[in-house]
Amino acid sequence: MSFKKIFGILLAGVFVIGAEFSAVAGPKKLNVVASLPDLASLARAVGGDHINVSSVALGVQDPHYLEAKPSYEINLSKADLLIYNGLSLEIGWLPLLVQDSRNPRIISGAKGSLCASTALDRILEKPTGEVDRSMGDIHPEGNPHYLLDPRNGLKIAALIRDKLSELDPSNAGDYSKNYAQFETMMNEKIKQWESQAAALKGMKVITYHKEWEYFADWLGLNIAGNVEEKPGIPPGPQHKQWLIDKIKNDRIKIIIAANYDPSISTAERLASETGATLLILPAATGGEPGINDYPQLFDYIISKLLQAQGGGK
Amino acid sequence: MTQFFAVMLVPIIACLLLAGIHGYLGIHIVSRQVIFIDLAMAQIAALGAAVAMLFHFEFNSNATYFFSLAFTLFGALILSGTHFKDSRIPQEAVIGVVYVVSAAAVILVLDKAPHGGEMVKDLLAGRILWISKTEILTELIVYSLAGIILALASSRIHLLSQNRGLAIAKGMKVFWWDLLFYCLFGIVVTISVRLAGVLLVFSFLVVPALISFLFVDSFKNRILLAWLIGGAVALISCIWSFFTDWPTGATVVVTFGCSLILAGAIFWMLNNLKTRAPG
Repeated sequence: MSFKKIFGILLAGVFVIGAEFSAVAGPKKLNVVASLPDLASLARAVGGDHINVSSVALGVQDPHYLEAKPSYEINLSKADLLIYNGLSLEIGWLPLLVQDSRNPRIISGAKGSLCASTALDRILEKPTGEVDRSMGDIHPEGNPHYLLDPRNGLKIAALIRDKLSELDPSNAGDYSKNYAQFETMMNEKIKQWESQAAALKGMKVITYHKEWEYFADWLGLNIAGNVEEKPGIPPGPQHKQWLIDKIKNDRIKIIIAANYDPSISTAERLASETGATLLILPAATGGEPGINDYPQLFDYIISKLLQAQGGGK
Repeated sequence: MTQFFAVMLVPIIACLLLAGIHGYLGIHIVSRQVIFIDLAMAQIAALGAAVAMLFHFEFNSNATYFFSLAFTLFGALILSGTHFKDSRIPQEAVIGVVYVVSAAAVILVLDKAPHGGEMVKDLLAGRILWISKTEILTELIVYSLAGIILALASSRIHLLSQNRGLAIAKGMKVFWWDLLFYCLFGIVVTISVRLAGVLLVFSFLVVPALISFLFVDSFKNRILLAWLIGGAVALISCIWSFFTDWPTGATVVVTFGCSLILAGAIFWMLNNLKTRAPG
């Protein structure tokens, strides 16, 4: 066999394999990458079979800090749409990732770059006046943990519907249909969660980080204080004493931490010194085994809170 | 005032205990010129805890402690095995390699572990303000045991730290004495770092030793001065931290930094006065 023949066969093989790949793929699916697993879950609900979705961060990872991995970049370089939380939550890692992916479709301002926070009509804790580093690791645009209010999740799902329809008009009808289904389901769920959590209304809690403000705002929980007075900086001696006094005087029974919070041992210590219960909760989809989508996250959190409240009595 | 004692008594006792054992160990560490050994040891212990997580052991379980301890002793073995007679390779470089490799290995292991990554990082951060009474007791017992063994072996270990050549010439089995010293050192430092964090433990080890090297020459006096300085800085900075409400660990470390600057200034003035006086 001559060299030419072998080369010809190899070349033909490459073409056949290539053709097969495109045949399997069928009509091209949109590649959607979300920075956070909650956003990925929302995109999956709206996009259905028309899109491939993946999330950069896992539910067990702190979205403030993420260790870069090669797969992140590869994923982003193939993305048609990037959905991110915004309000500076991912500022430590996402801008660099986008830059390194060299994907013009998803750079800031491009059609394929979607900041989910633009769907919100109300942002909590937006600082007034000057912001500086002396306030700790504070977010100048306001508290970014808005996905812990499912009503916000619904608004973002609508935003994703509009964006997907813009990028892929041929399937716009399906996106609207999927969204409408999701909306009906979520509205029912929200009503159900609200009635379950009626018992939690006005309950005083201490939280580790300022992560639960939207959640508390939704269900009427009363956050009496944070273990980390300034996010990212360990508490000083007087703040420690203040926390202990506060928990004892107000008979606070529950301290909430997200399962990816740093220095959870500090919160453990506070709980054991005061007799309060430390409740370590997942704060994102995938944060515990069994939480496979965004609605299941709230099922889990609310049932844990109710359990802890019942146990504390 | 009662509030001050309620919050600060336990941290102050913890700091004084730290000053005691590390003031002594620090003199050895600086004599041997292995300054960063505590960082390497703490990091290797953290790697042990991370590996335990990989096998799904709970973070606060005995198994995790055992892993930490085993890794620490392995680290001691490496460090005493690499103290070569002809110092072709500086030991400080070996220590650096042990540190960075175990730090990087922690990242790799945690990437595969399902949970608890933050807890392992927490091992190195410390929380001097949140030490419980049982922890103080453990600290006291471990430090005392280590202190007693060190005192029993003191003549050999002192000689080894001060004059390695002479120790070898005298026919001492340096590898085994080194191994004993680094094992004790590793156990002490692993416990200390868990309570107080790497920054604080490093300061307690090195700064009092440096200051005492500036001013006194005999081994005994150096140890006494290191204890005095470590204890004084611990006390002052804990009080300062309470009244300013600054995070305690960081306040102690910065106070150590200031005390070194002050000591340097005093040393300079003493020297200048001495040289000028005759003229």
